[in-house]
Amino acid sequence: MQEGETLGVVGETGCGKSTLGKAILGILPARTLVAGKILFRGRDLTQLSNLMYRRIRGEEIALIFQDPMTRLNPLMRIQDHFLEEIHAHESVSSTEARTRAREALVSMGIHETRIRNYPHEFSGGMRQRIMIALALVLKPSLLIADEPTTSLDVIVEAQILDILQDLKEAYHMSLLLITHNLGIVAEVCDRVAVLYAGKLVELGSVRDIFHKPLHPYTQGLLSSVIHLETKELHSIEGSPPDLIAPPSGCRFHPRCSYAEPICTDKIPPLVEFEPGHFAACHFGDKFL
Amino acid sequence: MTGLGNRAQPASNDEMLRLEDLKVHFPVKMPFVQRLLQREETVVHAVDGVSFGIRAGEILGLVGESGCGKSTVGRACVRLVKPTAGRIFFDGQDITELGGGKLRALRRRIQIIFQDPHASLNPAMTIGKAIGHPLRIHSSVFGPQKTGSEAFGEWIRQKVLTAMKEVGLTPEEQLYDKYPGDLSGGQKQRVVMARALILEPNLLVVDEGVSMLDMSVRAKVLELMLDLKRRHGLTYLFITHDLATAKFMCDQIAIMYLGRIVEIGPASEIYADPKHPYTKALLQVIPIPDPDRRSKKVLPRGEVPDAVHPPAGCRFHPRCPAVLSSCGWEGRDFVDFLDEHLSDPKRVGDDESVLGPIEDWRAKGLVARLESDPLKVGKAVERVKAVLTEAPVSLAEAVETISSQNRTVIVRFRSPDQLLQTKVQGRTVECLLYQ
Amino acid sequence: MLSWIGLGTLIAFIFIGIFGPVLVSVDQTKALAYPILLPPSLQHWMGTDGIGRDVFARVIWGTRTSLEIMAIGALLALIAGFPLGLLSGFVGGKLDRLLVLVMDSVYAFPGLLLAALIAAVIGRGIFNIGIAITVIYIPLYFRVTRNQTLSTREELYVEAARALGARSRTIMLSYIAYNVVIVIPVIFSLSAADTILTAAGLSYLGLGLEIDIPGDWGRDLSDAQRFLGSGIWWTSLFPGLMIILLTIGLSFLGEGLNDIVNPLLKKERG
Repeated sequence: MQEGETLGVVGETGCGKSTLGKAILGILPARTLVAGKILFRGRDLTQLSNLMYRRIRGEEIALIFQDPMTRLNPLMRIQDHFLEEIHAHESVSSTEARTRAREALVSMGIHETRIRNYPHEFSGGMRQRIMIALALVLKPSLLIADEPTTSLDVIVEAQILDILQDLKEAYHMSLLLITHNLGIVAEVCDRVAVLYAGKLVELGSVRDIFHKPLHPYTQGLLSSVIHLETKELHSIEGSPPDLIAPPSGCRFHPRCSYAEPICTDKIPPLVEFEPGHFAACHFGDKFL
Repeated sequence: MTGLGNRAQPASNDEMLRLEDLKVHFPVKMPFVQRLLQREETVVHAVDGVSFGIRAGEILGLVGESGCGKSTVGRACVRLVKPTAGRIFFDGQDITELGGGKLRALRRRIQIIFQDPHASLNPAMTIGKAIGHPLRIHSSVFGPQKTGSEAFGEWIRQKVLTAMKEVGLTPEEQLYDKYPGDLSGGQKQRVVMARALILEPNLLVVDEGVSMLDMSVRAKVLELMLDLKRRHGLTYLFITHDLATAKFMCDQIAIMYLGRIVEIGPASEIYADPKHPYTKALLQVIPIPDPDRRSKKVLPRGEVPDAVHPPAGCRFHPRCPAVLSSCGWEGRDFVDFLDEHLSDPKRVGDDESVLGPIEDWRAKGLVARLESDPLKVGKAVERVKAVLTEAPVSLAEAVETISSQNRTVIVRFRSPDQLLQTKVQGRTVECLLYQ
Repeated sequence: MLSWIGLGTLIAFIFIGIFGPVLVSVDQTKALAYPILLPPSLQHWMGTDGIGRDVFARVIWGTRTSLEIMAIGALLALIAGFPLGLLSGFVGGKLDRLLVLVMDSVYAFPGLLLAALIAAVIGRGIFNIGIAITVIYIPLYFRVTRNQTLSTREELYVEAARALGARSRTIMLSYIAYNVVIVIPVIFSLSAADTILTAAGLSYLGLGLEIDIPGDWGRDLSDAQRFLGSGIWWTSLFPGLMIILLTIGLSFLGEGLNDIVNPLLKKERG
C-alpha cells in the first residue's frame, strides 16, 4: 500500500479479508499460525513483541469494525472511551485529552454535549462515527475499515463514506477498506485487491479492475453486481470452497468456465500482466 | 384427492392483495410505573397508514431503509403481526380479523420468505422433513387419508422431491436427508422457497430474500424467483432496501419512509423520473460500480428519526433538501436548530446566556417554550428573532409568533398543510411540492 | 475430556451400585456383625465401624442407596420441571407469571432446609427422600427449560413455522422442545451431583433415611465423627471419599457436556 492511498480488499464470505485485517493488526487468536511478512514502514510486524505491537495499534494503525456496538463498552461514557484510549498511548493532561475528544466528536458531526452519553443512546450511524473518531483521535497513518457500512442504511453509508474521504485528506491517512460491496469500492478506492478462498487473485488500480478484469473470478464477481442499469442477472456457479481442504492448483478452477488441466495441477503465480496490474491466473493475458 | 394439485385460482382478475390504511403500532416496553404515569399511549408507529394493491401476477417492490416499517407490512400480510387499524384484503376477502381454522386455510395461499436463510430452518429437521412439513400441517385438506399412513408419507416424499428439483436442490435424493447445517446460504434459501411453495400459494411475500447472500449467488436465487413466478402465476410482495434489485425485479414499486408510503407507481416511471425528494435521495446514493462515474452526492441531513414520535406533517421534512415552510415544522425542530446553533464552535456572541442552556427548552407539538426570568424575557424574544435569521428559510417562515407570557418565551409554528396522495405523471406521491 | 472422566466415574458407580450388593452380603452391614473398630485389613478392606459393621460393605450398599435417591430425585424433577418450563415459557402471560413466582419462591429457600422440612413431614425412606429432593430441584429444571424456551421461541424458524400454519402444539413439540432438550443432560448431571450432596447432608443430620438401612454414606460420616479424635480414620474417610468421587464425577460429566452443548447452541444461532 502506498502512503495516502485507499486500497479496497474485496471478496465474499470466507475469502479471508477480515482475517487479513486482523492479521495486520496482530489481533488474531493466539493459536493462529502466521507466516510471511507484514511490512509497515519497513518494519516486519510479524516479528514484533506484544509490547511493541500495542504501541503501534492505535497510534499508527487503527481498525474499525462492522458492528460498532460490539466494540463500544456499554457501561462507559463516550468521553471515557476517548480518555482511556488517549491515556493508553500518550501522557497528556486530562484537560487536553478531553479537548481532543471533543474536537474529534465535533469533526464527526456529533454535538460535543453528547460526549457524556452512553453508547446505547446513539443510533447505528452515530455509533459508527464515534468508532471512526476513536480510531482517528491518535492520528494513525493507516486506518483499516472492516465492512464499516455493511450494517448501515444506504444514506447513512454515503454519509460515512464522505466523512472517511474528508478525514483521509485532512489527516493524510491511508485507508484499507475491506468490503464485499463493489459499489462503494468503485466510489472511494484508488486500488483494489480481490481475494478468493484465502488467496490474492487480482490486484490493480480501480480502473483496471473494473474495466479490464483479468481473473475469471473478478469478472464473474463484477458481472454479478446488480445496479440500476443491470439488464441481465449473472452469477458464478457453485460456492466458495471449504478452506480445510481447498481445491488443488488454482482454488477457483471448479467454478471457472475457462479451466484447463493446468489449472488443477499448478497453482497460478501472481503475475504482473501490465504495469501495476497483477493476476493469479494461467491465462491472464487472454483477457488483456 | 381434493384440494392440492390445482393451485386455487384467484376469484377476481383484479387485485390479489389490497391494503387499506394499514396501521401497526407496537407498545413500547417500559417500567410499569412509567406506564401508569404517562398521559398518552406510547407506541412505535411502525406502519402508520399504508395503502396499496397488487394485481395478480405482478411484483410490487416495497422499498425503504431499516425502520421504515416494510418488514412489518410483510408480516402483517401473512398475519404474523396483528394490524392495529386498517384493512387487508386478499383475493377480495377481508382477512384483517381472520382467526382459527380460516386463518390456517389462508396460510396455504399466502407465504413468506425471510431474510436470514440460516435462521429460517429448524436445525433439528432434515431438508426433506422441513419441506414436507407444510403438507403434514395441512394434511386435513387431502381428504380422508389417514395422516399416519405409509401411502401418505410416500406421497409427501414424492412431492418434496419434485419441489426440490424445481428449485434446483439437486441431487434431491442425496440432499433429502441432510440437515440445514450441511448446506450453503444459497441452498438454504432454496429450501425455504421450496417449503413456501409446496402448498401452491398464490402470493409470496419476500422479505429481503437475498440480502444475506453473497453477490455471486443472488442472481441465481432471483432468477429462480422469476422463473417460479412465470411458471405458477405467482404474485410477489418484494420487500427490500436495495433499489437496484427492486428495479430489476419489480413491476410496481412503493417507497416507504417511517411508516408511510411516500411514492408509489410503475417502477419504470419512478426510476426514470423520481418525484419525491426521499426517492431522489435514495436513487442518487446507490453506488455505480464504475470508477469513472463517481458523482458528488447531495445527501439528506441526519438520520431516520425514531418511530415513537414521528415528525409532524411530512415525516421527511427535517431532512429534506427541498423542504417548504408548510411541510411540518414544529417546536422540536426549532429546539434542534437552536441546539446546533449553540454548539457551533464558530459562533460568537452571548446567545448562550440569553437563550440557553438548551436543556431548559421544552417542545410540545407546534410550540417551543423557554422558562426564562422576567428580566431577560424581552431580550430573549428579540434574540430568538435574530437567531432565526440564520435558520433555514423554510423553518423561519413557518414560525407564526414569537411571544412572551410571564417569564416564558413562546415560539409558535403555523399548522402544516395537510398532506394528500397526489397523482403525478403516472405515479402517486405524498409531497407538498406537488399539491 | 472432562466428560469422559465423569462418564467413566458415573458408570463405575452404577456398576458398583447394581452388582456390588449382589457380591457383598447385606449381613455384613448389620450391627455387630464383626468386632468394632477394626482397622483396614485383608478380611476387612476398609475396616469396621463403631457398631461392628464392615465399612466396605456399607460403602457398597451406600452406593446403591445414593444412586436410587439420585435417580428418583433428579428424574422426577426433570419429568415435572421440563414440561412446566416448556409450557410456561411458550404460553407466557398469567400462567407464566404464576409459575415463575412459585418456582422462584421454592428456589430461594435453602435447599437442605426445605428437604429437611419435607422429610420431617412425609417421613423416612429412600422414596420419600427422593420426593423431598425432587421438590427442591424442580425449580432448576423449570427455570432452565423456560429460559431455553423463551429464547428458542424468538427464533426465526419458529416464526416461519407459524407462517406455515403450524399449530401451537406442533410448534411447541417439534420446534421448541427438540432444541431445548439438548440442555437437559447438562442440567441433569449437575443437579445429580447436588442431589448426592443434599441426600448425604440430610443423612448426616440424622434425617431422611431409616436407621437400619444397609448403606448410608451421610449417616456413616455422622457416626464416624466422634472417633476422629482417637485416630480412627477409616470409618470417615471411605464414605466421605465416595461422596466426593461421585459428586466430582457427575460435575465433570455436567461440565464436559456443557462444553459440548454450548458451541452447538451458538452454532445454531449463527
